[in-house]
Amino acid sequence: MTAPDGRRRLLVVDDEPDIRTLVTMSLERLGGMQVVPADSGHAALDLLANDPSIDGIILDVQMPGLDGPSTLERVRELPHGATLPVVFLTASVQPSQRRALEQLPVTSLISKPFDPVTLPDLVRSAFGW
Amino acid sequence: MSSQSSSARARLLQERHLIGGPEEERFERIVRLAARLIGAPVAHLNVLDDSTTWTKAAVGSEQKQLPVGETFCQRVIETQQAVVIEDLRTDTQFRDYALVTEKPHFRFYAGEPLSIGDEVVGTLCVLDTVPRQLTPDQRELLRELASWAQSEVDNAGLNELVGALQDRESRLATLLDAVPEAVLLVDEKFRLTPTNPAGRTLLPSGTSALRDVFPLLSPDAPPFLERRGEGGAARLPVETTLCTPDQRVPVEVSVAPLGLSRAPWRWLVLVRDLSDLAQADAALRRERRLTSLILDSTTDGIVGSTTDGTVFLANRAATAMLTCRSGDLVGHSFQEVARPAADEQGQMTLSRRDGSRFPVELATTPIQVGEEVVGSVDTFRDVSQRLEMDRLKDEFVGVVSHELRTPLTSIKGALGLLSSGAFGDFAPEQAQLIDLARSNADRLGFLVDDILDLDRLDAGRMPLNAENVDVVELARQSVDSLDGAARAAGVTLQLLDEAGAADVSADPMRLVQALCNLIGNAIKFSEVGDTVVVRVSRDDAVSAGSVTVAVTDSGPGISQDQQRAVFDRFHQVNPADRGSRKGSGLGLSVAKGIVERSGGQLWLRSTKGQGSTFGVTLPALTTPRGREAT
Repeated sequence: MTAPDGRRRLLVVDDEPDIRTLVTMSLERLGGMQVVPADSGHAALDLLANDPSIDGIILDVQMPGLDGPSTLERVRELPHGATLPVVFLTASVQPSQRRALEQLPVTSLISKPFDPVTLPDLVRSAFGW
Repeated sequence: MSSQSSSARARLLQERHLIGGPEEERFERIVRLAARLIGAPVAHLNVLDDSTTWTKAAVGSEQKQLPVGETFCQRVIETQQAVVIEDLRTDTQFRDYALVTEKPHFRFYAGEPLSIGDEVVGTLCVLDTVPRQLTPDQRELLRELASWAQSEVDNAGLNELVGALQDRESRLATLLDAVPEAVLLVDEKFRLTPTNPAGRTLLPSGTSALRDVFPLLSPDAPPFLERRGEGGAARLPVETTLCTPDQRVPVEVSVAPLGLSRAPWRWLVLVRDLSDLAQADAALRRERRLTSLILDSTTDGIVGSTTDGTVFLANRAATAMLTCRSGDLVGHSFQEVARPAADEQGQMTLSRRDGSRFPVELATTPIQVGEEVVGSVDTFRDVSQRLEMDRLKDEFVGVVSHELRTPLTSIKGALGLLSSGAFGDFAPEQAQLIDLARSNADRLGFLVDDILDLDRLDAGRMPLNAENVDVVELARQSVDSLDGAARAAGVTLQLLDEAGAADVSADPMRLVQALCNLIGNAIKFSEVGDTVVVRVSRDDAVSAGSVTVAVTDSGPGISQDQQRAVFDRFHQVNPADRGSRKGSGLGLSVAKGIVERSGGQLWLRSTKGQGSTFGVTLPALTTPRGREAT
């Protein structure tokens, strides 16, 4: 599903407002996408339940409450969440942790710190857009 | 007269010093008296050995010695009794003797025997030139004088004996003076009398009661002396303590019975001062006590074992850590009691008495005496606390890194978006300020990364995913990634491949990081127009061969005394020159850590004013191309 104006709609889930702002500005201003921000896993699930027009999710791994993997689990349980492309945003540098994350049903991993200038390209290639 | 008797006589005369030597006053008085009392012109005291008649004293004659066969005294010796010859001319043996036929023309001889013990050895004789007879009184007189002379001869022996005794005594006295032992004599009432200087030093007050001197012996002192004395052994020493008014001296005492019938002395006691020995012994004991104190004071467990693994020493920390008693270890095997084994993480652990295990650092060192290994020492330290600290530190570093990275990410991202032009163009000064903020945010980011890397290298936790990699390829990647920075600094990067195949086992990402640090450094210290050369070469002189990447700049160089310091953390070469050459000061430390963890070496060759070469040398994996062809 795409935004009415033809832009891709992305749900960006991160507990840090600065990151949400950067990702939003990068993807909207440079990438020409539409961003729906969420500050927690629960908020993301609520939004998803009410908004079937989301094309993909950028999901922070480390969050208080519901973390990235737990949120992903619930997303996959939603009627239209099973096949939704999801990209993890992770600061982890431990190869073992990265490997563990890669085992989960996700599309790709994007490392923090990311360069907001090149982020739209990374996201497009991750989602195959 | 037998020859045997003759040599016995000669020997006796020798012993009494009666042959040769000056005439003796004590004999002269006798011969003078004999001549006068008998009324003879000549009197002699002669001694006769095997061949010669020796004159010890004479009156009326100059004769000193004559062959025995020419003198009349031979008959006294032969007959062993007094001889009187009233007229020598009528004597069938003597009438032709020169003393008779020639001057002094003796006619009369009377000789009395002188003896040593049972052996007749000489004569007291009177001679006259006219024939004569001796009245009974005269014969009696001559006999008396002879017995006087005999007593002088006997005295001569006594004097000799006394002299010999004196010699022996002075030798003994010298000996007594010289011996370090105190020589004491003990009488029947158990009183000790010192007999030599050492004895007098020991008992300055002279004769002392045994009880006072050896109080430790006193309850059974006389039996002790008896017992020691009985065996007759020269030396059956016992160790005890001697009491003097000012001190107690450890001594060794030997007792020997004297067996003198008349003297009051019954025993001889030798006392040897053991103070020096005792002091040495005490020093040794003190040292041992100190050593064991040190051993027991250390917090490391120390266990000494013989070559067969039997524990002979375990300090307090060892028994405390293993929660056992010394007896549970000593005499047993350390392997069996402590059961050293590595856990799943490879951490060495030891077993407590209750079977629980604790992590340790364990070192086993051989005990060597010269070349020979005589045992081993196990030293161990409980590292539970340190491991816990490490875990907390890791956690802390992890948290800090996240906490630092997160705001940095935001700062860099925001500045990046601003300068991307997505929000419109800025005035030149605004753009300059944004660039300044960006480059410093980058620097801070590198610093955080380097600190994290170093921390992981220190802890041995930097994950190195080693694989077979071509160093030339990695060097090219490194050069490519710094091409932009080099161009911005007006520096040319040149890659020289002189190695052919240059495969090594390393984590490619980390090796590129190390090389980038070196190349980045070289760029920083180059001037505009300089060239930084990255040379990959191979050395097969050593058995397995090695691959070297050398990064050479033509910068200011590093003086000899600074060369070692450049690998120190936060070290900045020549701070005065820094200017814009800002780095974290950690790059070389990180590179060194990565290279060494990869089994290689990071080295530096530089001369002040002539540039520097930093090199990475790693063990090669394959033979060089071209080698196989030949």
